[in-house]
Amino acid sequence: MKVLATYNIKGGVGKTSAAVNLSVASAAEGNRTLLWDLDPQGSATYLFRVKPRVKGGGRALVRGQSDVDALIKGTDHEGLDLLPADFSYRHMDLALDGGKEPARRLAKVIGPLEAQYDVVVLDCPPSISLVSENVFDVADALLVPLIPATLSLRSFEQLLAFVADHVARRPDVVAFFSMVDGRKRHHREVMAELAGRPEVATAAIPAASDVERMGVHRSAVAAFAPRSPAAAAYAALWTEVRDRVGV
Amino acid sequence: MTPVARNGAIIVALMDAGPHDFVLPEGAEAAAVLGRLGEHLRLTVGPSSRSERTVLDTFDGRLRAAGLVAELGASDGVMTLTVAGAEETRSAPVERGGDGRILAVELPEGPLREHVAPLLANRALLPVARVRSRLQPAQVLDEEDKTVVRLVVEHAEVVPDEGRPLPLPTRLRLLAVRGYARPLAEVRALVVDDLGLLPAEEDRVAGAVRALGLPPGGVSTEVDVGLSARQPGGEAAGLVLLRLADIVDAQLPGTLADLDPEFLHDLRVAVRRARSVLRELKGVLPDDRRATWRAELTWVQEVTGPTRDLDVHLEDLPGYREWLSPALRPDLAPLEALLVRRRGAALSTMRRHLRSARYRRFTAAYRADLERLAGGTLAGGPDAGRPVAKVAARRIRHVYATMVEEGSTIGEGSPAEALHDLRKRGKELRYLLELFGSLFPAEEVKPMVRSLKALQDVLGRHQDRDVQAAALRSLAPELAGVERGPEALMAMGLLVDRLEREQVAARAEFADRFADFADDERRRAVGKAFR
Repeated sequence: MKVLATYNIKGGVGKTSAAVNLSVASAAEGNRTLLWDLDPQGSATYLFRVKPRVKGGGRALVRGQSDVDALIKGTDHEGLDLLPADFSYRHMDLALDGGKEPARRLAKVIGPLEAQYDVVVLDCPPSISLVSENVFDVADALLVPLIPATLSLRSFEQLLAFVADHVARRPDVVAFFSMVDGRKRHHREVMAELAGRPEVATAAIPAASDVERMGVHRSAVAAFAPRSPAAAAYAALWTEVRDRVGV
Repeated sequence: MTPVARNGAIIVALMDAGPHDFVLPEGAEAAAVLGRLGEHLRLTVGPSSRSERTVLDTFDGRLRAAGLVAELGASDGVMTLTVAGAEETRSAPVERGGDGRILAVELPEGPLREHVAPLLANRALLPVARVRSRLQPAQVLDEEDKTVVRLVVEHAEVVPDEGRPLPLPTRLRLLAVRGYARPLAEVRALVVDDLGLLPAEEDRVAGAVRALGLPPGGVSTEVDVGLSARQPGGEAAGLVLLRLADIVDAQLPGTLADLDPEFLHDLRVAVRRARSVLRELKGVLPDDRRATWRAELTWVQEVTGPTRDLDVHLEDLPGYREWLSPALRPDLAPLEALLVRRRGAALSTMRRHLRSARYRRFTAAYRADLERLAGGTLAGGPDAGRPVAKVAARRIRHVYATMVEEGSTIGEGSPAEALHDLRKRGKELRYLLELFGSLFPAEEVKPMVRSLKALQDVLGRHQDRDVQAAALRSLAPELAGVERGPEALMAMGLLVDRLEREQVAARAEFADRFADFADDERRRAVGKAFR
């Protein structure tokens, strides 16, 4: 089982869109896939038309008191299931902090699912916290969407440094350009500067209205605009991620 | 319909305990049924599709016995084998052989092979029924327009090898979406209460197989003819022998086609059991005919022996390879080549005999006689009129007593032959208990069968090792001059050494097992139970 986490401390950079579209691509290829929406905003959950509710709340879930199997919902995509978000996830740091091994609790929730899933995708909230420490501990790879602008680079370098310092388990970092506007010279310059760095994927996600309209269609791009450049970009990104991580 | 994974397993949503398949009344169309449901539910209807699938199983229904259904069908242009259980469905692309059979070793590596290979062992998956369907899917939506239950209306027909397709009852299938148990229960309630549909009595594959007149669980080799204790011995013997003849007939086509080694094995077991009845119950059988039957069944045993022996040798090879260090394993290749060659020749010869006029004449006459014997119109031997339970009981006591007497004389210095002979008697006793044990109280028969089995297990190991070592020795001269023959012989030497050690070890266990089999308590029990 491989665990992938879409992560960035900044919000609004395309984490959820990537989590949703990549997990749909994973399932379409035949991998049994689970998406866990860890963001209390529940955007991924909304896109899959599932109620953002987990019985017992986030606290019971991360404390190992819930029957995780009973909380998982099948999405409309064959082979893709969802562990929904819940508004109580906004207190997840507190819930994680209460017990033993606070940085390993998410691993304990996901571990027993190994027999059922080939790929788990975590859609992470934009923060740096005990939740993110848990994610670094359990993930095989962090998928980091980067808007190709200077300030994003700075926070990316900070992230790489932080991950390098996280001694116990170091996930692979796969950054990819997100919300790319090819007309902007600044975007082109930043992308050129980073091209060739091993952590940066070749595939890039365009700032396409199709991606924005996911919220209207409540569906992955591959479902409502299968031949669009955005769909092709996510497909290419999935292929790269899959091959890098060894799914 | 069922998602096909890239050589992977897919978990079908865990179904609850309620029925999921419902039978539509004759003539009902998908559109009408879905229309009725649509009056109460938010429903979208998907595009209909056609599928053609072949149901597969081993001749003896091993997959069904394990709760699995295997189907072969084209998916995106690729021939795919799908094996569905109660909770998981696995699939893999396969190449289908010309005769339609699939062996476990021919499956690609992956979750499907891992799951299915231990169940199949050396048996082939064979086509059982070809089913053509028109599928009409629909989705039940909640207020967010999410699919919470999937439906399929399936119009199906089974296509026999010859003749017109046979229509099957149209089915409405409910498919759960994980985490939406309540909507599933609600839809089910609607289907039962409002549409008044009845749950299907068996799964659609069993229904298809049965429509062809075949047993869904495969062809069994059980001999359960429902004897009663007072039944005349002659008739009872006739019924048992007839059933054994049926088993031989059922295994013959697969044997001749060489689909897998178990057909021949089961055929020979049935012949062996029949010969045992002829020997042990000779008092109930007509003497002159019995002599002919014995002679002909012995002939069948003889003409099928060489092929079976070679099957066994070939099945021993993987085990032999495990005994050798990895560097030496390839050295057995000339031995394998020799065995394969010999088996090919033995098979040709066997086929000739089993297709001969002699075989046909014998089996026809034998069957005719047995039917008369079972029906009471053919006079049996002097004991034919005695109740079968009495005849069988006397025989069981006698064989047991013989075993006790002969086994008691076996000591450390006795030749290996003595144990082989005891094993032969044990087989007679075993067949008697298997074929006639139902006439006696189970609580008496079971412990005896258990003790006998433990003894036979040790005797069997002892004899098998002896036979295996002798076989390897007999093959040695042929390998001496062959390319890489000397290496093969050296490896075989190691095998013979180990076989002889195992034979000695089995012998050491004999005394204890026999003591348990022959002790006073058991002697009393046998005397008491079989009267």
